[in-house]
Amino acid sequence: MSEQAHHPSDRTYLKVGSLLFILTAIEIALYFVEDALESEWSLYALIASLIILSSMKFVLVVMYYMHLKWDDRMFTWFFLAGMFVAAAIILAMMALYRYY
Amino acid sequence: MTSADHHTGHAEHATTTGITHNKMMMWSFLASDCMFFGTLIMMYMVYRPDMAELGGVGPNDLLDIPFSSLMTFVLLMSSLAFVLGLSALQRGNHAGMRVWLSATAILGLLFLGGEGFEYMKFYNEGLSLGTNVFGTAYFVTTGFHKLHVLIGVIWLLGLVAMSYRGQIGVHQSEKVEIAGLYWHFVDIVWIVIFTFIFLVPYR
Repeated sequence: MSEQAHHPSDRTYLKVGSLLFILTAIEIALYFVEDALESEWSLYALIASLIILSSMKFVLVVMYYMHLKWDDRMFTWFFLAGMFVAAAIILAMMALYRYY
Repeated sequence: MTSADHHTGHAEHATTTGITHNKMMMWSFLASDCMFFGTLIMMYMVYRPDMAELGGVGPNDLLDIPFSSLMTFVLLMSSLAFVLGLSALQRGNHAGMRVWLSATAILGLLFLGGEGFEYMKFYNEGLSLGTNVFGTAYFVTTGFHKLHVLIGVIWLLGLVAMSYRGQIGVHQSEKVEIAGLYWHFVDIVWIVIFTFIFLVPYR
């Protein structure tokens, strides 16, 4: 469905804004429990949680504020292609520099 | 059609995909900018493990999480202000659009001011571009992001000025929507930077 055909309401935008605020607050709260973590596994769990929360915020902004939820699918594929190459660069170069 | 629509009104060129060229161009740019920031973040992540042991002017001594969180909140709220401005324009409320877009620009300037203050604080503590790997990676990665924010603020103020001159009608809302795509992209890049540079512990 094209974006012109479907404009999200202000109420939807405000709901998404509130969710973004809540997710950021949880991220910050998690950061402050870091000092209490002793085992390596709890540190990994913290990092995984931060990445999941960050991804949720990312998806909310892209889907609702950038209108990919309603816009032409081609834009989604364009953006995903860029994201995929960016992620591949990050992972490949990290592996290259850290292990060789 | 409003007088503003008549002023700039012309039919969109038909495309084979049914997607306007301007919007396609912006999404293509954003896809390439993903790769640009991907490279910068890659550089930061490669050197990140070495940063934990930097004494005195390392991330554990300098990064101010509460302050950066506040800046993150400011940028997120600027994205909310922008979509409310776009929504106002799509309803034909030009004054509302100008108010929300001005609010977005002000929040963007507040973000730039706050980050500028943080740069000065780091510099006064002894961190510069050439001090250590953290200084180089931090200033380069966040510096390019701030440059994007600055361009976004100038774009927003340009849109407000165009609206005052009657150059943005309801049927030209795509002009605002395209600027919005850029602004929200700047926001999501900060979401990633905030997590990987500020929140993930340095150990």
